[in-house]
Amino acid sequence: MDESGLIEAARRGDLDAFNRLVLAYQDLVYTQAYRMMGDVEAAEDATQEAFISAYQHINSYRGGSFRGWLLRIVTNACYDELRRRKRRPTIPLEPLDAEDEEVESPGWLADMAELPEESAMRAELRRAIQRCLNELSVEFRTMVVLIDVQGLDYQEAAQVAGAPVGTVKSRLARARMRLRDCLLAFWELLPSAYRLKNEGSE
Amino acid sequence: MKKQLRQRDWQDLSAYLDGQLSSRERARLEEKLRSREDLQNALEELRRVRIMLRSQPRLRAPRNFTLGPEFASQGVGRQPFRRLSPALGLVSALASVLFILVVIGENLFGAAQPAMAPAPAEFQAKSAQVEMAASPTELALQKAPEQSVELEAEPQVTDQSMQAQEMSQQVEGGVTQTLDVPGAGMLEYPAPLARAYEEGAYPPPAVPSPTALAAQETQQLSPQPTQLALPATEAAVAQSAPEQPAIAPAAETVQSPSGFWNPWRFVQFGLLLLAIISGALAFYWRQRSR
Repeated sequence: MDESGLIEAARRGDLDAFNRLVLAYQDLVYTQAYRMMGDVEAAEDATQEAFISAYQHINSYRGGSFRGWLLRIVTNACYDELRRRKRRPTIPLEPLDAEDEEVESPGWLADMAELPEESAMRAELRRAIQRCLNELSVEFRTMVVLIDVQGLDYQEAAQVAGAPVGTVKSRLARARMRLRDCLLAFWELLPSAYRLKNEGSE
Repeated sequence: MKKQLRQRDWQDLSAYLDGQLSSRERARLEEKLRSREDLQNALEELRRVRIMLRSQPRLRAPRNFTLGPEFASQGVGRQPFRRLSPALGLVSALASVLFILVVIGENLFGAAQPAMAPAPAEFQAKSAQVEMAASPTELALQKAPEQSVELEAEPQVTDQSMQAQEMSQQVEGGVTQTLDVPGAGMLEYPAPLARAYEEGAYPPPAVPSPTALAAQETQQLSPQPTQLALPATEAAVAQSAPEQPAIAPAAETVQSPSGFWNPWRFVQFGLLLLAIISGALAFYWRQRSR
């Protein structure tokens, strides 16, 4: 059954059809939640809450991008949680073991076949990026995650954020401005393939 | 000297990276980039930031977030109220517009009413006063032929006192009616006057007391039967006339308590309440459905 069929079945109350949609989109939703909240536990809560809300309000989906619709729900759930907490999310990003050392869980590693030093550099870069994202206001952070991390275009990001395209442009530009001082220090951590690709495109 | 870039420059560079500039804007920016090194450096910095962010893989969910069987029994939310949200918003907007129109209409067309509104009451009061003035006269004139007949029939002094007696009998002997006049208490009036009051000739006519009326009758006795009635009537009218100015203020004071809460006010209040409630409900359900 294709996505539209699953959605229609879910609207009729078919829980199995909805759970298939959950499996297809949970990485996307969890990534958004984690990048916005900055810690695992809060991201899990926001993700679960988003899917529950999506199931209960499936009849409010009126077509268009289902991905964007889900991202909007999880973004709002994160906004609500951040407002409740009234603080910016902070590191550590990974759970701590008995010695308070960060534990690398399999879910965090994109490629288990990496060399150890590459894995360490990637992990450090990931942490650095998240630290820099945490320094942004939630509105700027949301925009840069939607477009630069999740790969949405400006129009779709505007629908998710409930803001005009002009606002999307402005927030994204300001987010990137503020990130450059923080991120560029870790430029050398970026895998060479990415750096070479960038230099070759000039 | 390093030139500080404006916010607009950063925004243009960021949009240029994503291909979000129009062809004209892109051409203009590229021309500036050719001549300004600071813009080139800024563009390169933004490019690296974007690369670093896009180099990050999508995170894998640490567990499955599928819903358990307990959600199957709950069912999918129908959200009937959410569908009402746009309609409620429309209702709120319409009620607000109507409220404004009613207020404007009342101010434009109701400005004449305060001058006019008392007029009917004034007219009623005046007409009551005219009736008051007339009715004693009418009464007297009605009685006058009878009196004249009686006087002619019995041209004696005792007939005149009998007239006075008759008048007082008519006043005292059951042709009167007791009315509860605000501010004056229970007063006796001749029945026709009392009827006029009850029919809306408000305020009640100022009629001299029956004993005073009878006393005037006896004091103004004359051989001419018609002349007998008129002076008494005129005296009664003259006596009642000074009291007329006292009536008008009573009429005005009785009117004023109902001046604010007229039907227009109820309409305005209802529209305002409808606009506020429907607007609040529409906003609340729309926020909940997000």
